[in-house]
Amino acid sequence: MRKSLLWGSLLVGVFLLLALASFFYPVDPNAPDFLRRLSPPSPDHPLGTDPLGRDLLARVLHGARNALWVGGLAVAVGFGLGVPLGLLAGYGGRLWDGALGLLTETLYALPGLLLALLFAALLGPGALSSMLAVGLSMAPAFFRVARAGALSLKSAPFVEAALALGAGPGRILFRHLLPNLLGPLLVQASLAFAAALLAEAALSYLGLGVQPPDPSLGRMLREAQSFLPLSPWPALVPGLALSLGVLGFNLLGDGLRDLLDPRR
Amino acid sequence: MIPYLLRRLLLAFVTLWLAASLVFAFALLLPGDPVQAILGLEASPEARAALERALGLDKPPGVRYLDWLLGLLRLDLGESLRYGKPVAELLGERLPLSLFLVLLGLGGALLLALPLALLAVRFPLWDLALSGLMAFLQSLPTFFLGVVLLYLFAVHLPLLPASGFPGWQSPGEALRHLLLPALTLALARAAVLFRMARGSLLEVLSQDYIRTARAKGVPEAWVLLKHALRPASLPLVTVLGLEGGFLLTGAVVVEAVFALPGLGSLALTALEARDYPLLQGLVLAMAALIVLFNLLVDLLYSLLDPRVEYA
Amino acid sequence: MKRGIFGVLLVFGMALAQGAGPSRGGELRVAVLAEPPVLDPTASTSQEIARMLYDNVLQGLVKLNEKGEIVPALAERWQGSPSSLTWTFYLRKGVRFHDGSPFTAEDVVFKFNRARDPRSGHTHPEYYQDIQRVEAKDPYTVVFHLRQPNQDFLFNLARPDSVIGPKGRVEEQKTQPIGTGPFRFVAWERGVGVRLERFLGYYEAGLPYLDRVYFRFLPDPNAQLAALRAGDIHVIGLGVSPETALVLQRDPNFKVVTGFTTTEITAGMNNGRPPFNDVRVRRAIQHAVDKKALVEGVMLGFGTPIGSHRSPGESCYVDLSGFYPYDPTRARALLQEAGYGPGNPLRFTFTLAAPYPYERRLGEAIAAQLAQIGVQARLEVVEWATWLSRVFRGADYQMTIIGHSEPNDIGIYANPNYYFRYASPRFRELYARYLRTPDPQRACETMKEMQRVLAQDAVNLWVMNAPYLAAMRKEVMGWWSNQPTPSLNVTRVYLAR
Repeated sequence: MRKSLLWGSLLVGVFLLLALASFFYPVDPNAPDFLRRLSPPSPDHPLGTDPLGRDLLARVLHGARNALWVGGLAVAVGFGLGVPLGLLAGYGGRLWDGALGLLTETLYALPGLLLALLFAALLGPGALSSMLAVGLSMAPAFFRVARAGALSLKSAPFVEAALALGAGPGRILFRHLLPNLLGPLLVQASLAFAAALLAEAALSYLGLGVQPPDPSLGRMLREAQSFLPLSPWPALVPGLALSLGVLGFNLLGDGLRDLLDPRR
Repeated sequence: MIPYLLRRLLLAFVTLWLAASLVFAFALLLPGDPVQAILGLEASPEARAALERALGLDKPPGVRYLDWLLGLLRLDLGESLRYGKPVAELLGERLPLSLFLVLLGLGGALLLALPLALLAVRFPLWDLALSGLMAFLQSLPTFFLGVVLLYLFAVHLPLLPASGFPGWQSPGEALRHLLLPALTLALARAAVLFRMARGSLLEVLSQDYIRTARAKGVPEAWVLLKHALRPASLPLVTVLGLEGGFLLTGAVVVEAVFALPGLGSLALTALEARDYPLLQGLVLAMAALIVLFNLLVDLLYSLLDPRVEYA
Repeated sequence: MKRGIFGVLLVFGMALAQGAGPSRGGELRVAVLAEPPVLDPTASTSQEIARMLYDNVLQGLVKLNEKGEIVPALAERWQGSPSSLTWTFYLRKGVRFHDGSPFTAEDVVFKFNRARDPRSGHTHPEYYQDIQRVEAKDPYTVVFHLRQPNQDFLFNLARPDSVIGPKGRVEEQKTQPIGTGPFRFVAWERGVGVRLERFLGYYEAGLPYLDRVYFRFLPDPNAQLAALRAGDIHVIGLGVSPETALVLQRDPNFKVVTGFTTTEITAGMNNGRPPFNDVRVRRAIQHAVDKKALVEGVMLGFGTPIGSHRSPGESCYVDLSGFYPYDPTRARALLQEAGYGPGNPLRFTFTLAAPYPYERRLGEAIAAQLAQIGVQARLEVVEWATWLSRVFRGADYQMTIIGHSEPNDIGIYANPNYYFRYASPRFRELYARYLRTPDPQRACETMKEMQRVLAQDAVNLWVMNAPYLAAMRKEVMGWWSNQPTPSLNVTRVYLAR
């Protein structure tokens, strides 16, 4: 199925363009205009306004930009924590494997949402605290991919060769094993990115996530819900943008996986 | 098999202890205190001091941690600060609902995903539409999906109750109240299972023995159901394990949308009230469920796939 | 006895006037936003307790009615001595608690001895600190001896904190409240709701009309609305969002009840800390915020702008909403005076409490209005428990916003340790004078003066009196349209057939 890859890249591309456009669209996403709240699309406000009269286009563009930062943060935390530990567990032998495995299991057993709630209580609700938690709960998945890869490549000829040439463990892990695992890790990262966007939306439902007045697609959707009978635009616009992003990254991940899968 | 199980169980206990201790340490760092949460905004300092003593919060953290660990050994999770009831009792009240909701959601997801995957494989014309629909459903936040379903099935077509839970006394009513929340979870998560099932069905269908069956003139529907389904559902089992944990936390939002008294809403209350014993008990319970779920899935996998061996 | 006959006649007369009159029976299901920690208003100041139980289950000597007037409850009548130091209450006879035990003067004495003891854990012992002695003259006469006159004495007796339970029963009241109201407590389903049932032994003939009341905890506004539309509940008891109110007003199956509350939505400023320890900065903020636009824009027209810490529905209210007219130029000039300008803009952190949607929305809008005169308010949302400990107890904040829902609570400004950190000897002196003035007329003048002083000092930005917004099915009758005290009063509610 190359279609997934095609559609995924297309949607992700559009999403990235939205985020990029936020730098060029000159309207302040947080400036309210109470007299023109909930207005339908018009030349002044191409996508209409939200319940406080803020420009929806500006908000959705900035929302997409925030989504990139939020998803990127979560993936970075998950990747940065899970991958080195996974490589070490796979390559470092039984002791490392056992200890790191236990750590990962513990992390995995902690319910992600509770972790996010605790982080929010500790660091204050916000993109940083919630995405640290989401990233942390994603780390086990990255750990597994990296560990499995390292295990299978441990005795590959190119690793043996590097060893024979006197490469240290750090060099082996990051110069030889990691590049060969980038494919599956990229798949994981793309799927995790989509999951992080949804997690941010779920957290914003509980009042965590990106904080006002900065727009987050999830919170915009959540706050606009009760206005649906009065005007559909404030819910429709961020809802579609969010779906676009999640769908895009999911499809991209799947497409990459199919591409890399040697069986097909 | 038995030594393997024992080792897994031991590992599970260590995991749980680590998880709970982590949460204990976390709780110490949190701003806010349970006494204020109970007494409210305008409480007097005298009342606060009195309650603090009564709840044992004036003891040093180390002592409280040891007390708590000793309690655990006696299977005593302590007493909730906010509700003044044993934590175990509160968990016992809330756990069945969450567990049932997750299982119902998981079952629903399977029930949706498998037939649709079969359909997609059987009729390539439908494949794109079904794949697209599933991927789209997965891209919606659960709270939004929940509210849409709520309006659809509780308000416009008043078939199901909108929210709340009547208790287990009348199982029929209880089930009716859980249907919409479970459907929300199922729809949101069916995509993962669908994709998995579709992929492995396609893979199985390219195997030699299927070609043989087809060559022998076995009807296509029969080929799918009889020869492809079972081997193709094997990878699903591993996903189920991951999904179980996911649903347990995803259920928190769904519980909030449908005002269900499950573990999720209890966790929100516990955190808001800084009810540390309850919070620790909850983490322990949820972590135990996740660990147990994975263990079960591993065992199930071994039952379904005779090739798996335990070292 | 006379009162009883009169009461019966009154009810009879009303029945005649309305034709069919209130119909009896049925279960009323009411959504409330949150679950309280306990069910005893003397053990926690959580307003949710009073909302469900005040007057419905638990009553005091006197109570507030829908208009905010003090009317008889367990005391039939009362009399203050000319010096206002001795108050005699004549109790209603033949009243029984829900457990069957009779209500007598002993219960009253026990209650108030506990209430005035700061170590008892009773809420707000300061309400009762002027009580020197409570004395049971006979089983149906109670005399309060005060140390000094207290203008708020009677009002304090009408508060939810002053409800009376059976003598000696304290701990059990927290989870199994027993009172004398028209409904008896049946069950508290943790996380789900509270069930009440008609009390057959209630002393007011013919009341209540309903057989059962079920308060359900429904925190999500969308879920509330859906439950109302689906018929799961009859009433959303409070906190209906303005947009939902607009939609339901147009629907013939539902009605929206609006009235006053005693909630002053207050953008609190830390008077003890820069930048708001400078009165010029506080006044600049008042001029920079357009309250009318906030009511129209954020609350869709629901709510009333106010200019001091008192609500229009309360006694001795002065309208000071125009004290600082909306005037950005004036605001800029004041800021300039205080040393802030384009080169050195006023910057501060604006702390919002997560669980309160009106206040959060208002906070966002206020920050945006301030931005128009170059003031940079950095929004920070904190969880409720954090808000309580950091802002409320520690006064570790610059600006925040919250609704103060207790009635008649201007006295908090006389406490320099309150989180506003407002230390004004003049205000304290006025408050003391108000409390110690026996003559209501003159006390009222002082009360008005207090409101003016607060406005002059621009202690806080009082944004608006929060509207009371409840939504219900058409057939629900007799629902309170105001909230003079937090109470979802169902004593006279019935379901029309």
